[in-house]
Parts: sequence; structure tokens; C-alpha cells
Amino acid sequence: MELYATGFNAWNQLRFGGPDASPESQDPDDLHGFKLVLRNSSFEPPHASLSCTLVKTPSSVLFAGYPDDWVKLHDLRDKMIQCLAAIAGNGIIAVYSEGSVQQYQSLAHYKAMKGRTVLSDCEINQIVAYETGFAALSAGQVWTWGDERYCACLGREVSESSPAEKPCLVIQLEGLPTGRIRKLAAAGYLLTAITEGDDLYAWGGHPGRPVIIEGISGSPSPVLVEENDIRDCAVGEFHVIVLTSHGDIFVIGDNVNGQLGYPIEKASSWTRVPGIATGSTISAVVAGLRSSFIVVVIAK
Amino acid sequence: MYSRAELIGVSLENGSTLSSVFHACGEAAQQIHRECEEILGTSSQSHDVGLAGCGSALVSLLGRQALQISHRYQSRKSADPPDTPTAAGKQSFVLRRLEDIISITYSKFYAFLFKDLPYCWRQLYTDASILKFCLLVEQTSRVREDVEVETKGPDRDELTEVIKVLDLALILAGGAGQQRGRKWIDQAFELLHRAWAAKQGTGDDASFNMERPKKRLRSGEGELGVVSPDRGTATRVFSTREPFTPPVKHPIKRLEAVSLYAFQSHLDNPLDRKVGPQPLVLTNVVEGWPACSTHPWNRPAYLLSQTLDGRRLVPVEIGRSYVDEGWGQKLITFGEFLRDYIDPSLSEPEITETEDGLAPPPDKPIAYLAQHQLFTQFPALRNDILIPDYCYTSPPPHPTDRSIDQPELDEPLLNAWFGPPGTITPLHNDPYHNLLVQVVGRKYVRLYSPLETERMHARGKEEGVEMGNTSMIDVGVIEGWDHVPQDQDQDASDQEKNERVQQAFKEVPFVDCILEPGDTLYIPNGWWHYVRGLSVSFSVSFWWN
Repeated sequence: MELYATGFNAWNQLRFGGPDASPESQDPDDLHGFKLVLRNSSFEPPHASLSCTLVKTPSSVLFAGYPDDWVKLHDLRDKMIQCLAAIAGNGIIAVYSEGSVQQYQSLAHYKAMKGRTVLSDCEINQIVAYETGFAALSAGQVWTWGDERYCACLGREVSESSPAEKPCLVIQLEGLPTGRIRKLAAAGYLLTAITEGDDLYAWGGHPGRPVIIEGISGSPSPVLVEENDIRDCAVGEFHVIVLTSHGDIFVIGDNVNGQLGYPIEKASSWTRVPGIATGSTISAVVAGLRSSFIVVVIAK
Repeated sequence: MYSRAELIGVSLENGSTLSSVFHACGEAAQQIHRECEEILGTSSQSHDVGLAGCGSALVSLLGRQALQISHRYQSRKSADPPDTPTAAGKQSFVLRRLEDIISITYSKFYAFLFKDLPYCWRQLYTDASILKFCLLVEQTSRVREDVEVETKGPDRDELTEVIKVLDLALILAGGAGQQRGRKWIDQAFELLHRAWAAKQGTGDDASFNMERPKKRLRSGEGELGVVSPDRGTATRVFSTREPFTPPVKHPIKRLEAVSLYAFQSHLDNPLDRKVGPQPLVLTNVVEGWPACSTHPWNRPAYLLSQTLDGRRLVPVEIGRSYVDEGWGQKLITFGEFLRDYIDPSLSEPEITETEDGLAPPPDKPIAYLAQHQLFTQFPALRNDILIPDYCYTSPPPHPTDRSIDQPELDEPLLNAWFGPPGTITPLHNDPYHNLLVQVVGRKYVRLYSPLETERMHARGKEEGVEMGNTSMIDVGVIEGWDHVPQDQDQDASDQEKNERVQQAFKEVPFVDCILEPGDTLYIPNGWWHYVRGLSVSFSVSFWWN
């Protein structure tokens, strides 16, 4: 398998091993195009935070960049890699464990185990975080909770019986024509969900920021990427990357740090990134806040 | 090639103001690098102070950029060679990394409620901005190979960019940091102001021109704050045009020359103990204010001279009133604010003031510099006003709800309110006693007693923001002064209910007044007030308790 990466690289977080891979060696530049950064017989899709990248192989966890404080806490790190824990931009941490979701105000609260249960008696498949809140996937249903000021990111109504800060179901993602939700992605103020039938839905928005995808609102709506079925989708703070069922990569959004992997200033409509991994199969896309990754399975 | 002294010319000869900026920058870069190293060197215990809370990764990244800039300053020679392409590339790389840090940090300002925003993020934003400023200032001062070949457009833009960096740190991050922070930025602005004022003396247009000056400075010219009497613009005052004047129906009592003792007694002995002291218009508060005499705020040229020729950045509210659809906040230069929003007639060649009825540009919305701590941002303007002695009296607590009372302030809270005709502050109340001093132009104010709070139809929480101190009622609409906002799609029963509410509201007693320049309105704690700018208007409010 191969991992390709592009984008923000201030701490060498896109560089695994090698002589200059220390986070402070020189002043590493960003990558402005997808480059092969890792080859290994097998690994899981990476977890990318602002300053570091973690890749789980069958035998260990590979690491690039500057370790965040939470990386040293192995139980939290493992949950993050499994997408069963997430840290929002405001420092709040949500962790799924043994049938309930715990929330911690900060890493210090987590270390002191000062959390509170926000959702219990549930089976969570995935937790994602955006700047001010979370979404969780449970048996094809989506729960959201977070800061009331950015209620568009909740994708649901906020009322006394369904307050912003308490996990509630996103009703509009139920009973969709192509089945239930199978995967979530989120960052910045944008959230996405993919159905079992490979349709992409998105919601969110921030009143003070330009929209990444035209037409996005507080109510989840289908996103068309040139009529393609969507296999995978990942969201960065200012960009989105999708993998279509034909194996094509499309990107949209800002390219300040090279996160689109394509030499354009910015993409205000879906733009195909050509020439990646010909003759191979792309199995997943991943986004850091300002970077993108492509996981490639080499054809035997 | 010019020597360094020739290039900076006037400024260096005239008190070495720019070299002082360079000195301060070199020190700051070194200091920031040292602080970052210290944080990275200690174990993660002292996370509550300084930058540490932002995480080692960002501290390390900032430290690396600080070191680069510090090296750059240390290697400065009396005559710097032009940058080689490699060196220039390195500089632009440092600049990009600083911009990365600034943008990463700015996201935190949104992610947290400002009151919950950890201090470290504000300091990181400020320090990264100081470094960016230092990098840009140093760059613009270098001899450029293209100086002779390409006569660059006005350096004005370069200076505007440099100023913006520091103003954003003041406005967005509050200039945070013990060692540098606001103190450092204020000093840098003071030095830039001196360089600019000195430059003014050359008779050039007010550009921050680091290239060879066209003329030598003539002694005695270009003193701080003195505006060159250029084509009469220096003496021009803001337009007094008043498109609409509402009638005053229940005038507030006016008192001339009220002694401190008499004012305290007014506070202590209300006619009705349940309501507390009544509002008053006082006429002697501005006595001795430079803003009304030697440093006239009604002259655009004076205000421009205090804002680096209008290049400083200010936050303005765009839209008629903060409860309207489409209302928003924007950062623009002070000059843009004056010329585009406050008084468009200023950009006309020279019009006589009798030419009244000048309509503002048709599709320009109203912009209001409202509730801004202008005097923290511009300490020089702070010296143009005096805190009224009345603010040192001890006023009574809130008449009906003691829970609203705030902890006692050490000193009054000052806010500036500067806008064109037609600004509206919707009906609301504040948790302090207020002296609203009218410095320029006229304002209409209407007040409702705190006993009427139930009939004020206070709002609730709106999109996560507490709006309980603001009324649903639009006084201008009820009085027929303004049109009903179009965006309401309400059914007949809503409309009927609305009309009943409005009818009932018309019955509520109120007092009102039009403040003339020099008037001061005392708004007692808890009184609901609606404020409407009639002409170009500049007021200062003093909150105290």
C-alpha cells in the first residue's frame, strides 16, 4: 500500500522517516502536489491533526510531525485513530467507550477523567469533530451536538427539547433514497455524510466565512460531484476531497497550503486532480485541517 | 545605489524614528524567540502563562520564525545590500509561516466564545502579528534593485498593509501579552506617527515614502498633530446635513452648570424611589475638552492626522440597526470610513456647505463605528477628552433588579459612537449608569423607565447570543419614521398580534431629547434607550457604577 500526501507541512507531518524528518529540521516547506510519503505492506487510513500524522500498521503506529499532547495518551490516541474519539477546534473532546459517549472540556479534564456522559446506551461507529462540535454515526443514523452559535453545523432544529449541546438525531438524513449513512466527515464548519448507495450529503456554514461548497446550509442536502457516485469523502478546514466510484479524485476549496494537490489558487467548483496513482486502486481519502491524503492499494 | 541614510532620509535625520522602530523590532524578535525556547525547554507544568497553552508545535513554529527575523535584524548594516533571490525567497517563506500561524489562531477566535478564549491564543496572534510587522517593515526599508527601474506606485499601500497587521492584533486579539502586547504596538504606532508627521513637513502628499525624499525638511514644519493648511481642507468641518428630524414630545430636563454636589443629590433623592434618579441633560461636561476646541473632532483633517492619514483600521457596523437582517461588522480604514460612509461630500473637490440635501451614494449601506473602545486603540484621541467628574459620584444600584448590577468598575468604561445621519441603536438597556456626551452633530434619544421593562418586549437568546437587553420594538417603525423591514413573512394572525403590541407600546410613557454638540445625557442604570443619529454624529459614552 502507498500513502500520498499534499499540503501543510510546517512540522514535517507529511514526511515519514528519512534523514530530515525531524519536526524542526530546516523549515520544511508545504507539499504542493500529491507525493508518495509512505509505502508499507498494510496500513489503515491515517489520522491527521494540525501538526502530526499517525498511521496504524499491523505491528505499530507510525508517526510524522510534531506530537500533539494527546499523542502521548495511548488510549486516547488509539481511539482517535479508530475514529471513536475526536477533538473539536475549541478543545472539547468526545470519546466513545463501552456504550456511551463521554465529553471532556479540555485535555486537562480528560487527563483528570473529569468528563460527563452526553449519550448513553448507544453503539457508535464513528465520531467526527468540527470547530465547535461533533457528529456521531450509529447504525446508519447521525447525531450532532455543539455550540449553539453555529447551529447550521448541527443540521437539525435547535429547540428546548433538542438543545444544541445535547446529541440529537439529524432527521433529514433518515429515509434517504440511497439508504442509510455509512460514513461521516467534518472539519471547520462543514460536515458531510455518505449513504450506503454512495450519495454525498453536506451541511454547515459559518456566517463570517465564504462557503466551500455552493448552496450548503443548515439543512443537509445532496452534493453533486459531476454526477459521480462517491466512495469516500474527507473534509479539511477550508477544503474537501472526494473519491468517486471511478477512482477519480475531486477537490474543492482553498489551496493556501497546497492542500488541493493541484496547482491552482483555489477551486470554487469541483476540480479533478489528474494523474494520481495510475494502474493502482485508490481505497480512501483523508484530510488534515490543511492537508490531503490518498491511500493506494497497489494492484498485484 | 543610495546609502541607507538618504533612503530613509527625512525620518532618520528627524529623530531617527524609523531606526527606533527597527530597534524595537529586533528586540521583540529576539525576545519572542527566547520565550518560545524557554517554554519548549520546561516540562509542561506552567501551561497557564504566556504562549504555552497553544501547544508546543505552534510555540516551536513561532520560535523558528522569530529566530529568522532576529537574525535578519542582527545582520543589518548601515547600507544593506539588496536581497538576493534566495534571501528574498526565505523572507517570503517566513512571512507565509507567520500567516499560517495567524490564520490558525484566528480560527480559535471563532471556535471559542470570546470570554472563554484562552489568553494564549490572543498572545500568539499578537506575537505573530508583531513579527509579521517587523518582517514587512524591514523588507520595505531595504534597497531594492528595482527602485530605479520601476517607479513603484505610491508606497502608501505598503504602509497601509503594515499598519493593518498591528491594528488587527489590537482589534481582534486585544494586543495580548505581558512583555510586548498592546504596549509594544502603541509604541510602534507612536513612532510611525512621528515619522509620518515629520514627512508631512516636506510638503509631499502624506505618503510613507521610504525612498529618497523630493525635498529636504524645512525646520519648524511637520510637528506632531499639526495639519498643514492645504487648500482649506484643514479647516473644513463635517456636513451638518440632517435628512430627518424627529419631534421631541416629552423633553428631558436640562440643567446648566450642575455642581458635583448637586448631581450626587440628584442621584440620592429621586422623586420616586421605585424608579430611582431621572434622566438629565447636562450642558457643562465638555468644558475644557480639546475635542471641542484645539483638537477639533468636527474636522476630518484633524481625525485623519491622528490615524496615520486615515490608514488605521477601525471596526464598523454595516446596516441600519444591529437587529436588522443583513447587519454585519467589517474592518475598514478610518479614511475609507470617513470618505465613503460618514461624509461623502469630503471626497468632492470643495463644496460650499450651503449646498444642502446631498444624497448619499444610493446603494451604500449605513456604517457605524459603535461601542468601540476607540480610546484604547488611539491613546492620542483619549487625551482630547476628560472623564467627567460626575463619574466619580456613587450612583444607586439598579432600581428593580439588583442581580443586573455589575462588579464595581475601577474606572469608567469609555466607548466611541461615530456615524453618519440615520444610525440607529435599537431600544435596549445597559447594566451601568451612562453619561452620553455629544461631541459632534446631533442625536435623538428616547428613554423608557425600568418600571416599564415588562412592556418593552425583551428578546431572548437568538442563535446562541443573549439578546435579553434588547427590545423587539422598533421605535422608528412605530412612530412612522422608518419603513417596516421587508423580510417578515407573517400570516394575518401574526400581523394582528403585532399591531396590538405596537398599539399597546404607543401608550407607554417616555421622555426624549435631541442632543446638541456639547450636551451630555445622563442615562440612569436600567433605563431603556433608543438612539438615532440625525446628522454626522460623534459621541462618547462613559459607563460607571
